[in-house]
Amino acid sequence: MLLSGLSSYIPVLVFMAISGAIGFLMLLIGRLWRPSHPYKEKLSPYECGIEPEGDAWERVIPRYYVYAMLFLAFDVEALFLFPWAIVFDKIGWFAFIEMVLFIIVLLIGLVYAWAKGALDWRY
Amino acid sequence: MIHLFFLMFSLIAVIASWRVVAAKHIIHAVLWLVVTFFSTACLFVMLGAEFLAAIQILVYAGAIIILYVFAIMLVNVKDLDIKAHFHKHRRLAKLLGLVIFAELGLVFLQRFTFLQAKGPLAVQQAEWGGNSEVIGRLLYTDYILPFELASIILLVAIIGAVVLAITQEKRA
Amino acid sequence: MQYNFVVLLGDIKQISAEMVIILTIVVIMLMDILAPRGDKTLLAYISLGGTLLAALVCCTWNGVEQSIFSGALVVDRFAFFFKLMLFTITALTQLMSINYVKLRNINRGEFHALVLFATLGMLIMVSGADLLSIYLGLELNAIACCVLVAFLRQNVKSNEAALKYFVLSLFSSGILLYGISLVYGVTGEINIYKIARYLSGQQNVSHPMLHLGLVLLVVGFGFKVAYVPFHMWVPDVYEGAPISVAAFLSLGPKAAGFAVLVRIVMVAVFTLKVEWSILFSLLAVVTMTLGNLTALCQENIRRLLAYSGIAHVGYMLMGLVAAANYPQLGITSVIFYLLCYVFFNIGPFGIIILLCNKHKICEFIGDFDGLSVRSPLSAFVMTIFLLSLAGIPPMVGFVAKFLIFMAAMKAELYWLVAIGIINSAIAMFYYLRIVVAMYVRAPKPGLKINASPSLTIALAIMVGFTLLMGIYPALFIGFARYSIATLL
Repeated sequence: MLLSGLSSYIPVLVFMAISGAIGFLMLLIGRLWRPSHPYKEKLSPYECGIEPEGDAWERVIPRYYVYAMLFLAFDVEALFLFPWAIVFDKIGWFAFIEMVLFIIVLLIGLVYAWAKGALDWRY
Repeated sequence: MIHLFFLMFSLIAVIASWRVVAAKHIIHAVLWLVVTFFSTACLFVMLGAEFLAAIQILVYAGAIIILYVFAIMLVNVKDLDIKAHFHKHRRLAKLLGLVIFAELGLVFLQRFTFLQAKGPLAVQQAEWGGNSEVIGRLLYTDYILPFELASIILLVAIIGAVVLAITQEKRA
Repeated sequence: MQYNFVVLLGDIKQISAEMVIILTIVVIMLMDILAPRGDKTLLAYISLGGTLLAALVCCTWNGVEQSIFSGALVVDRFAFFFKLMLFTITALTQLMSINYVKLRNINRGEFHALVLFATLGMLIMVSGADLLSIYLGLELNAIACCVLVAFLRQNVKSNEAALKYFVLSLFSSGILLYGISLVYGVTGEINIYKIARYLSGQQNVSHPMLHLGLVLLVVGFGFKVAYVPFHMWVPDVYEGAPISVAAFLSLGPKAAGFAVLVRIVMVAVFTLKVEWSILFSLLAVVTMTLGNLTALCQENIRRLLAYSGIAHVGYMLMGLVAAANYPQLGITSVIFYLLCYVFFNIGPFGIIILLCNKHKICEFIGDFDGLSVRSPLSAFVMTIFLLSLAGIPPMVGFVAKFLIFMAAMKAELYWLVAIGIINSAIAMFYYLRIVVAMYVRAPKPGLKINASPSLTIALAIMVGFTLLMGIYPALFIGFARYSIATLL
């Protein structure tokens, strides 16, 4: 039934296999070929001589999280636009007004976040 | 052949999701989660649900994972003694997990035929062609209310994030 | 299939109460943005006005039952009953919040908007006729409630409560979705009425996957309604959340959850009544016993109310079990219980708000010592609420419990009734403990009443209805009976 249409995905599969193989091979060849003489200075993060202080894993400020959240909301919105674009010519104005409403509601969220200073970058 | 691939992707998904729970390092868990999402997307493609597969990659493997990584970076995970808190009830969790797994297995292993394996989508997919088109036609006509509700839920999510994150920082 | 503007406008007219709520939210948010320094108390009054207007609009319903939005929602008497109840809960919460949010420094536009968002989600839940819209309403409610619980951001307990609430509600909605997908997989429908039609057409409905789906649905809603083993979040959330939000949570999601549960078990899977009545009778026993026994050893009144709330859910589940054999009687008793529970369960939260000031929250039983000396009126009001909660005869709580026990007796669930009566006796003890503290013990210094007009109005409404329903319950029982007549 539905599985029969899958033959068109064979190129995708081949593509995935080839790209995976290339990545793997490059790493493998590099590993076999390269000379390996590690010593302390070479393994330090900054070879220019500055000693790193503290940890690489620092806490980031919560503002990033709000950005990610906004991004997620608008990502989902964009996602709803795909099927809408496909069927727009069949449903017509009805679909248009629906989508306008949808976007207006999300715009309220954007305006709100803007007005509350969620989009300003200050420390 | 098809069944082989289906089995392969489901096996990858199961193993990866097991690694998500079992991973020692939290970033590794997130990366395994990407693998889980990707193989689930492949399963969706094989079931003819291309749109869901696209969502899975775009939203889950894309946006949600970014959100997870940010959330991990927000807290200093190393300072937390994760083991002490989460591994306290490990035995109990394992036991309960096994019980639920056995229950699910028993239900799904029973010989049964789907009573009615065709929803409205499957019927019309054959009639109208593509998966996204069927979803579009149904979503923007019959399922208009859930669609508009989704935008309100997203709005609440935005408000919640701003309320909880932004003003707190201003005060600090 | 032909869905066009004419149909759409007709459907929107049917949900005009919900539209009023949405418009109020938009107005509040715009005013909040446009006047960031303005007085937010005005927004509180606007949100209250919006709720009352929506309730009025809801009352203009012409009594014609129909399904709208291609079967996503249904407008019927049952939904009408619950909508009125939800508007009452929201309005009481808003009245209690007006002064309290100023006191705790959380008087922000978002607070008032989020209360309305949570209400909107519950309105969708109670009139939802397919599992998809029910799920979306539940999510809307859960997200809004979660932010409300975390609103006291400087308070560690509030944050802890919000985290617990958030994680558990996500977990439960995952389980719920799995249940929905199993039910859909077996029946091929997500509409409750179509599921019922499909199942009634089958000779053998005993399908293991359907059973599993039903169990998962019961678990998923269990977190909303808070019966044991899914009650863990309740005490912490009641203790940590802003008090008016705790009052809102103690009823809103419970009422909406019960509405959905009743619609699902009585309509969609009524053919599986043997299975779910066993399930619910077990849940009822553990819920009331555990709730009452744990409430016995609580010193914090908010935690005590949480556990007593869990116990009350147990009694309501008993009515649901009885409904398997006597639908009319069982469901009438359940929704009458919910209706009167609105007034006498939000009441004690109102008294706690009455006693709290900027520096101190009186939430321990010891803080209530000698309240009758300081303020005889508030002690008397609290006593009325507590006696109703305990179910002592002249109060409405007794009538509600009596109805439930009667339905269970008729369904020949004698063992369940026996356990219920023992539990009521246990419950008497911890409610009366507070009454004794108020009337017998010597007053502590520093106990002060912090009355505001809005809170006084809310308390007056709650006391008034508690007494009125106790004196003349037949009116409200009649309303409950009327509202389920077309559902079953």
